[in-house]
Amino acid sequence: MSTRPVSSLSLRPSTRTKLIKAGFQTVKDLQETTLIELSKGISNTEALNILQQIKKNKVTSISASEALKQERKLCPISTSCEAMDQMLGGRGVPIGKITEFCGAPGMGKTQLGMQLCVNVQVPQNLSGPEGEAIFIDTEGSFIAHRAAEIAKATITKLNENTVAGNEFLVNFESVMSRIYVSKVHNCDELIALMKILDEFLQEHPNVKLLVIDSIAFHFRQQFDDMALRTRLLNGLAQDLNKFAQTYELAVVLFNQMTTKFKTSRDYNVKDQAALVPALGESWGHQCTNRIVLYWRNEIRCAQLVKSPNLQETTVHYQINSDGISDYQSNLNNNNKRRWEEKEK
Amino acid sequence: MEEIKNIELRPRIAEALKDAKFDTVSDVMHRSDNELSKKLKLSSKDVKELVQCMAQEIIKTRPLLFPFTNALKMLNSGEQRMLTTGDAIIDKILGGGIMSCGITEIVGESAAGKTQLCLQLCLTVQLSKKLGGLEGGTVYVSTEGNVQILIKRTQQMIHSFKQRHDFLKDVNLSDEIKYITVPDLDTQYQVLHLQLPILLSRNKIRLVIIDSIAANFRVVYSSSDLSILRKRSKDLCKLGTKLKEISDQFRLPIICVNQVSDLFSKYDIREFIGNKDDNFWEYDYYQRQFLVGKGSKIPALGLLWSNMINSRIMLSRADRTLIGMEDNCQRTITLMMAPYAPRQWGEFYIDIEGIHGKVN
Repeated sequence: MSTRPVSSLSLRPSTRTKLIKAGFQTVKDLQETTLIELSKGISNTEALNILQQIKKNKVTSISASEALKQERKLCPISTSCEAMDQMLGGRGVPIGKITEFCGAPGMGKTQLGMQLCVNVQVPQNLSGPEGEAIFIDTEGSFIAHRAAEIAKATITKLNENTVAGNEFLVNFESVMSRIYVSKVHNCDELIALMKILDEFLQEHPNVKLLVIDSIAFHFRQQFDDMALRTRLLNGLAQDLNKFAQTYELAVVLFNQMTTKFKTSRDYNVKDQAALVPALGESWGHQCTNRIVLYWRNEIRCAQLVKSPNLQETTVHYQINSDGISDYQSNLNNNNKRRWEEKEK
Repeated sequence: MEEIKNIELRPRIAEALKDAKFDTVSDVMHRSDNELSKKLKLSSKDVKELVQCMAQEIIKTRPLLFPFTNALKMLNSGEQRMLTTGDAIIDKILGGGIMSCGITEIVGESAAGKTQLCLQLCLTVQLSKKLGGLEGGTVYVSTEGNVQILIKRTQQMIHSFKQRHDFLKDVNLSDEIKYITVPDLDTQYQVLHLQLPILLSRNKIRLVIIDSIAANFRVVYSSSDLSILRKRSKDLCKLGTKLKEISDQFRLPIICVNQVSDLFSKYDIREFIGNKDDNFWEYDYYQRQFLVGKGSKIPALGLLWSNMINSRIMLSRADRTLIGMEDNCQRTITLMMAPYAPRQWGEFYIDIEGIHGKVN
């Protein structure tokens, strides 16, 4: 549509010549003009006629039931922890939305990111999304051999559950080669990457997951001008939202935690520092779902704290050499604190 | 940051940028499209072209950023490998050794053996890749002003190291260790931000050790005044980012030795287990998992620094019981957190050769 020449529109010959003389060659040039700009050279009605022709079918709207149907078609990405999948709406991290996981260091954010990169490749006949993944690494924590470990374990687990002859066809090498990795060293690089990602996503329509680990790292303290930071973050969120919707991919962001001093009004209670997600209040509005990861009695917990459609819940999960899984109390040894083990 | 005048642009766009006094790529990247078209008086089409051009300019000079590599290539390239500590048992506890990229923190009380571990790594890093080394030298940035002692101790270790590795007999191992002393924070900034990249580009260095990262920070920013603490956070952030950049640029691991500080809490920190209200969100509750040794001590520099590092190794020891001259106190080494291995711990001892793991 956009590269269609102006001469092919049904217009009066005089208008057509005027347009071409004014430098408009394709419909794309016209799309960026406004009615007022156009009507400077030609009559108002003629200008309206042009715009109506080219903007026909540009704005589309869909009904809620259609939207629901479309959303059901999109296959979410499993986290490998059934309880967490349930919490996120039944089947995992939703596609077409931004999901943020916040957690202090050592909570397993990067592990979860690598697990999702593998799980997004589960083929359709095993009710997976069968896509590719982009992992944007700002902290330098993406370790290839750990990702390989998770990939191998996941493939074995999937093959166990399938009937003979219907094996998981994706082999280990292809799983690994479908995780695209990029290292980012400052926020300018991150913004620049977002600007050219459009092109990459057009070339790779199979990308179903975009992970940024972590969004906070380059935005934490290096800004003197906090208004600038907010503006950049908002721009980033806009880009990510656009990708999520146009290319039907899940955006998963990892965020750090920071301390916030709570001054108690009760003089008997000491002031205390609470852990809250970094990047402040306004960033909290940007993601669709927000999950906070924390320790509770030596068990890893994930709590859904913000979601437009799901209930606030807390679930347990665990991490072992095979990746993320449901919490099982007897297998919890590697989560135990050091001195407790020692006492045994 | 890149300057605009070196970039080829359409004359009218370049002119507009010049008039609006936009000098660097960041000046453009930090503004929204709307703002740009207003300030530069350019059409939205030109602005789009400009932004794309600037993005391309940044990407062009950053091979790690784009085009994307994939996990398989990373796995096969062997760039992410493990640097051996020279002791099989300790390597096993640490999930293979020290990761050859990113920042690894070694934290512990004084006399826990932090410097011993570092010095040992100065030697093992010179081994061939087959033997678990990285085939290069070390830059040892010391803030504690004890270089003479370090050199003496290194000589001792080299002697026994050569006995174990016969083929190194004629190699001058101490030549490959470059010591830098940084007595204050200003010098530290100078060295780490400006001199280190130059030093690394001229020598075949495969390991940077900073012993210790906390010392100078704790002297300058010792006040509890919030504005000073904020300044400290900012400086720490800058330092962490810079170190990560250096690590990726020169493909080497950076080891930061960290001290401990006391955790002041309203709770008895060791007894504080069980379902007590909703205190899981509290900083104290979280920090409990990083307790060092027997007391209520946690790694210095706070949560912000914990966010900066990739993995954390903790050394601790029981109180010294001096019986004869032998070092018989119980020392433990723990991998506290790492993106590649679970939490594990084991015992170790130090002798004239260096540090060794104990067989259980």
